[in-house]
Amino acid sequence: MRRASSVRMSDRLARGTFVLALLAVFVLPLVVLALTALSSRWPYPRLVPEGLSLRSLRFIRDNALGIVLSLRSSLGYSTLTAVAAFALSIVPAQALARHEFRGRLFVEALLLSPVVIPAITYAMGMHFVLIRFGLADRLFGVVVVLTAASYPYMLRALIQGFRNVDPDIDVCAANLGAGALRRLLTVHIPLLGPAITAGGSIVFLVAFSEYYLVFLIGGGRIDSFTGYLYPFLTSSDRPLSAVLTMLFVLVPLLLFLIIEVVLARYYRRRGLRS
Amino acid sequence: MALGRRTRIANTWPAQRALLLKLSPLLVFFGLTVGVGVVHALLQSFWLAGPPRLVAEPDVDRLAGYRELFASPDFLRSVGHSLYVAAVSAIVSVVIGTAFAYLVWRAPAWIAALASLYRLPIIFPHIVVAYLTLLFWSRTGLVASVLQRVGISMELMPQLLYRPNGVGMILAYIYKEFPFVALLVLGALRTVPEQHLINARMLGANRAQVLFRVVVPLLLPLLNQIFFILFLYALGGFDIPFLLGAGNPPMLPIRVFQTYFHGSLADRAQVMATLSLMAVVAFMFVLSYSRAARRISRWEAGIS
Repeated sequence: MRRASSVRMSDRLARGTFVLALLAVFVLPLVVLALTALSSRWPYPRLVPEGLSLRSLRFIRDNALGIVLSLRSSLGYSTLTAVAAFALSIVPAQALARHEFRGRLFVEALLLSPVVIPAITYAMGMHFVLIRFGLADRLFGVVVVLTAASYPYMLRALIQGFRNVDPDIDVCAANLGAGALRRLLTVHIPLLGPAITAGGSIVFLVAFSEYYLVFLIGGGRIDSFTGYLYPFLTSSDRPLSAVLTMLFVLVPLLLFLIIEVVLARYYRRRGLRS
Repeated sequence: MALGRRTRIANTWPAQRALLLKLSPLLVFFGLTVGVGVVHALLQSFWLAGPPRLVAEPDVDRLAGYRELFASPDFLRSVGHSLYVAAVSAIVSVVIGTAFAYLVWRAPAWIAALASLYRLPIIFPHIVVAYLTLLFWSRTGLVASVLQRVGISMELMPQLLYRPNGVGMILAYIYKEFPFVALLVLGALRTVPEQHLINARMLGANRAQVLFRVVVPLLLPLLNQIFFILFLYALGGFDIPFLLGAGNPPMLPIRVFQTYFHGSLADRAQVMATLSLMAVVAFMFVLSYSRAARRISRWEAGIS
């Protein structure tokens, strides 16, 4: 009896510690970020800010134009990157998922390799070539290099997606006379919904988070939110850097909330139908 | 399994041509971007391309880039520093991530649900994680403030950021990567048959033995793969060292960046030789990975 209750006590203690650790590691940083953004001064070694101020929010209001423009540019090239990754990967993904052939694993590893090859190794070589063809400092060049660095996430998600769909559905549609484009629009895209959303959101996020590649290939001519943020991060004005960082984090957070909701609805609908 | 069924491509040219055509969007794109980029870096590293005036010199030493690199103590220190930061951050991330996933897997449902907070750092951009590291671990940061309260003054706390000890970068990489490890490991753990664990317990294994004799061996191939992915990422990553790294010795990508933009044209081959070496290391990993995958799929074909 006593032994059982002492086990429960230690269990409870362990659980409590785990929950506290979770909050400290994953929630506390966001709280500190918000407090820093709203602090007037937070000198060492105080554990809480000395005073609060709305200066950082006023800064956002007064510089709304620049912030919105850089944010729009980032959202724009990230969306284009996700679309390009999908367009390039859909047909090869199907071939890799549905066929067996000599060297399939090698081709798959090669096409997925940009995940492990540091982008810097090919981006600088590409930079030289892009300059030759007049594509550096252009949106097109930026999207190309971001797509090269991130399409494997889409490819992998689509291969997995195709593996989970019965190939006979495709055969059926073809037998009933649906052409390749029609099958893509009415069979593949609806069935691969979750895979496309998952792959697309990762590709979007990788592109959106990227600082260095946009800076290198865009040559400062292509606005980006990361480029806007960077000088603040290295400055000593903590409230401003914190508030802009929060804004930066908000985009992925919103994206993932939306996706959770969309996917939940998708699965519910499918569940109801089948 | 009917869903995973693959049709074999016949050994005839029309069938193979159709397959090649289907794969061509990515093969062509990969060739024109990554392929061209790496090849061009290689060519420049041997002075076979690059700044025209220097390439055209009749008595140019084709191996000069590599010779200069390996004769430079600064470069070798940079390599050592990069390998150290990448290896330590990757190993610690894998260990913490696996332990975390195991705890969540065994935890009651409500804790597991709360634990899904762990996915936050996965979606944080690297520079955000670097910035958070700055807020917490700088000499006047929050951790130092807490330590001061318990009597450890700033002077006694070691400087963690911008120093050759690389602790700031390692902390940032761990915070960013261990949740990623946990995500993949949790996915794998959910496929471990419960019966294995019950059998082990019935045969007298205690909890630790179940973990280290049954679960970890099953995960080992995955952990190996994740380790290399994280290691290569930290080796070539730019954002975190740019904000938190030491000036001397710099991480390799920072060194490359500085020499490329601030060095002279004569240093170009050296820069490209560094990049070529990094690419070769990464491709070697890809090759060994596809070999391993082939072995695994043969083994699977053998038992099914």
